[in-house]
Amino acid sequence: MEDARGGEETPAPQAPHLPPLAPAEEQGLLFQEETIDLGGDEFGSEENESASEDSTPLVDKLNEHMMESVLISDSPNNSEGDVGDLGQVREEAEPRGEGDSGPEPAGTPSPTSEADGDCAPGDAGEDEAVAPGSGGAPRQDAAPETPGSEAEAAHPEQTPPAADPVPVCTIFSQRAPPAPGDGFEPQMVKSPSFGGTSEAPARTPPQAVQPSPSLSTFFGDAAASHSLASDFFDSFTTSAFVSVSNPSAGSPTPASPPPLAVPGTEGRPEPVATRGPQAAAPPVSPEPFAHIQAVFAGSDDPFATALSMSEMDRRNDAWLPGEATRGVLRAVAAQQRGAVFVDKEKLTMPGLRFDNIQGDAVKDLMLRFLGEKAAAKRQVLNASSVEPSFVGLKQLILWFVRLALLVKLGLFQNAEMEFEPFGNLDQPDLYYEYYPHVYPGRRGSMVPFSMRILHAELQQYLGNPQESLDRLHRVKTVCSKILANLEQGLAEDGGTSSVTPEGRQASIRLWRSRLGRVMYSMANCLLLMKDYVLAVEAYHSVITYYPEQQPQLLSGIGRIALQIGDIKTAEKYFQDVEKVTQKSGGLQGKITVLMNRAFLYLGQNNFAEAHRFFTEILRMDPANAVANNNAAVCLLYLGKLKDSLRQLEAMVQQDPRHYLHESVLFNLTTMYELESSRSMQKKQSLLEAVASKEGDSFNTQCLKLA
Amino acid sequence: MEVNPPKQEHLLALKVMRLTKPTLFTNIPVTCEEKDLPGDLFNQLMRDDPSTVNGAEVLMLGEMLTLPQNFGNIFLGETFSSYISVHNDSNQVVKDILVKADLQTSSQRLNLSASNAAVAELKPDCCIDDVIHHEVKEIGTHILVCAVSYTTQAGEKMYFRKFFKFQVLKPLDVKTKFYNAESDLSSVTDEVFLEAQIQNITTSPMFMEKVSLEPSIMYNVTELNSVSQAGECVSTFRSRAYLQPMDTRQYLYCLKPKKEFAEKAGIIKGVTVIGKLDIVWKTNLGERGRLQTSQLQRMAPGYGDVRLSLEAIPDTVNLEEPFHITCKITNCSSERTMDLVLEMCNTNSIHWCGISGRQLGKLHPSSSLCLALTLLSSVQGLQSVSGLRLTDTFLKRTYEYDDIAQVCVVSSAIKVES
Repeated sequence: MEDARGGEETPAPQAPHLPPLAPAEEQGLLFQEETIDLGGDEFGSEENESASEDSTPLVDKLNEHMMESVLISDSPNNSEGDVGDLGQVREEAEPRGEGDSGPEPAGTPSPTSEADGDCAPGDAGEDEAVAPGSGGAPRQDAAPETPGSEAEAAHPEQTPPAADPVPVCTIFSQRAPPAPGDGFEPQMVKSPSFGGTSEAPARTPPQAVQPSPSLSTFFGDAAASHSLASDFFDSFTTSAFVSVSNPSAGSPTPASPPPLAVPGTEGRPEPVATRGPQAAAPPVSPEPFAHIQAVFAGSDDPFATALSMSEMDRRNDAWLPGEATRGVLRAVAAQQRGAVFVDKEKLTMPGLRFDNIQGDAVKDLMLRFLGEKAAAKRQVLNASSVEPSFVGLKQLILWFVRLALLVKLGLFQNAEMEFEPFGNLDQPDLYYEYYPHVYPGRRGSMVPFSMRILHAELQQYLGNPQESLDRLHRVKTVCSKILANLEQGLAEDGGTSSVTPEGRQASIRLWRSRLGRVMYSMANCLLLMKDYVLAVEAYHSVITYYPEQQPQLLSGIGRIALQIGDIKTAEKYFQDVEKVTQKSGGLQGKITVLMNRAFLYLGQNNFAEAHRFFTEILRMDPANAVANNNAAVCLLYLGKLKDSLRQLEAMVQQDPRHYLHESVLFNLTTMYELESSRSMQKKQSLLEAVASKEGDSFNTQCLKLA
Repeated sequence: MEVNPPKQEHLLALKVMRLTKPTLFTNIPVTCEEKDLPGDLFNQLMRDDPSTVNGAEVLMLGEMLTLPQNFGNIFLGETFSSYISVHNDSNQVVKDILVKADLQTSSQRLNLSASNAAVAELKPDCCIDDVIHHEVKEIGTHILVCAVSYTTQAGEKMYFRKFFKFQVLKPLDVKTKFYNAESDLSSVTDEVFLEAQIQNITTSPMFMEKVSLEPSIMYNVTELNSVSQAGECVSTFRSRAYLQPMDTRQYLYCLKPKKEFAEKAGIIKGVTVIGKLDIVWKTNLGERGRLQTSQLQRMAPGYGDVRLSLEAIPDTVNLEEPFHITCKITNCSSERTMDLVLEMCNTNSIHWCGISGRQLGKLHPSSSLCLALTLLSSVQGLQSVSGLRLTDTFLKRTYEYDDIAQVCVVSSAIKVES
């Protein structure tokens, strides 16, 4: 190529120039710039040609048969790890599309763009089915559970709910917001109960969302049509449920909100820039809670017992409110008899945004491929199967649980929308002090610590890892401050305390472990951001909080190094793990060591040795799913497809409950596709197995049926 | 399901899958504390999930390997590996199966099959497997051509081919820059510094395992990309051993001409070949790539026919006090003996002492003479030594030497450390 020509060139000595790259060795071979001649001669030299080829020029033939070589749609990895970043997925899909159609002459129709369904042997185009047909499908399409189309789903994002009369531009012109820098998009101003933080706008439309009912449906005038689930939730909304969130939300029953006087402006927080003029909405008083308290009085219900402050509660609920919120809470405390005027916008108005958000993807697939009869056997729990009684209440009542489950289901957009009214989880009405009548003497955050973590982590799955980091840093700051208070002999919130030394130690333990949890999330987030240096640092600091996890964390750091390609560093960490586990011993330690050695061999491209070590683990722990799966993967790279399949199938059959994991299924279906043209049948039988074992959080994409 | 009926029913099916390294499964941890409503439920779920790390379930990066999810990108210098599977989909035994995998590039066609021998027979539901490897040495379109021929039970000879096309992309952008160091003051001569900027133009992080300069025959090279710390050689890049997409890193090398080339100053002249960069990188789970640049070339600084270099000069001198410098004058021409006259012109600050326009005598080709000169500066500060003129009386050609060196001129009140 270029390198030969380089000999005659005389590059200017001082100016930077761009030396052409040539592959190592064989430099001489490459400089012939002949274009490929795929016509007649070269290909015609092969003998049996006539059997299947007619006389059309080979170039055309080539184009006709041209296909992207390989395989494979979205992985469980994609959908699990990176799903938040849909933009990324899209990016990936794009070049693939280019490669697929780009080089073909515009007129040439591509032979088969049909999906994998063909069972006929020897179909000329069928290998294509293996390839981009399924692979190119963007993730959004792949969520079959949604009745709403993408366009529909995008709708609620763009059109402000009817209840919100505020045109976007007036907000900007009238208020001249002290722009916090992150671009204001019209979408942001959609909800009347918009929280306080600068919520980053959702980058992608929620994938599986019916048009969102406006909040007024839930909290304002009695709406005509409530669907089942929202009715169900509303039934809590009017009772105890709301006590954990917001009094204003809970009082739609009185036809009009209690007229609230008292312009106690000293506690009034600055309206946030993104807020519309609807801030004029009536503010809220904690008064209506008196009757709720009465309901609980004397009951031995856990919710009632939760009303009295215990040392446990103090320890767990401790939190340090932000400046503005602290002001409001102080005011509430000072003016015992309610009547603190609080900007409604500063309060939390959570609401259910979706009924039946997610459907049952497994069932949908069963209907499609296995028929109605088989599908009828499929049962999953949904809202209507939970009794609207206190028994049911306990299962579903807390927002945290609902939100956590949404995240677990991978419904990140939905979770975000439902999180939105909670703002930055620092509104005054999220603290017990705000309800002196309901929780006399009780202080601290009603938001569970885990919910703060979830709230922060969610953003990274939506493609805003920086926002995640920001939120985690805020949580970390509070944790550190509380720890510092405790270590100085103060109470969690910095006040003087009469805590026993044991109580203080317990509290320190709790907050240290919480700090560790935050560091863990930060490390995970940095890993997702591919900032490996910082991620490794963060994992190191996690070790100081969870020393018992040192072998696993060091191994994890080693795997990060392997992922980057830094084999030497990986080896160093794995050696450290061996030193640590030598002291502790135990089966788990041995397995970790063997696993690391296997990974190291993988990094050295030695699949045979890696396989040997994975198999060694299986000798010690035959039920080890990871070793089993990884050994099978190694077999494939060694050219033993059938053996690999046998191993995976045997493993899944042995204990489907345990082994029917997305990653295993993904590997299995990939190999089925590689193995024969009948992968469809095999995948369908997997679907049947999945249907009987997995809940609706199952990621159907790993079956690659769609 | 059949939409496009096949032109011809084949008993065998050919499947191809690119084998990039597997990836590690990452899970999404959702945890709660025991006091929370779900109690231990979420944590239990995570413990039961086989893809989490036992005992450290919150650690996102698991140990479960998953097969490659798409074709991905392939870059020059990487190894293309692919699984080729021929499966007997029929219910009859097929004979004399020959599977051939060729890679067609823009310049050549390579046979990648491990063996070219025919397989005698393939029973129903059996496979012929092959894993091919090829180090990619060309940019642009590559076509993997897989041809399968076999004989049916009825004795019919069958044949089909499939084409798999992929693009090979450029992984790195390399820019270089040379600096000439005229450090005749020390014992070293004619050092050349090479700055090489290497940019990762792929979409994934890249671990630079080796970036070395292989010098040409005339040079010795010293790599200046590590520092000695407590007796240990530490990379100047520290823990940032990898390059994120679009990141650029700069490497520095010092080249010294070998003795035999250095002494005859005339040899390294004009365009010279410096050497080439050898780059080895790794990506996911040790996927390896290697490239070399073509020979890097440099224009040696032109010294003309007569070279004047400094042998000795003080770094700090007193204001208005004479000081001495030693110059070396070399006849760089190949065969011409020169007759030189030295003129010394004062500048604003530099004043030469002694006679200007004196004859230096005959200077033979490739020989040199040393000359002691005295001068003083009338201005404080960093002053440039300029104003020497050599005239070749034979050709009537004058060579000008300005900014030969710099000295720091200080007031004589300050004691000059010698």
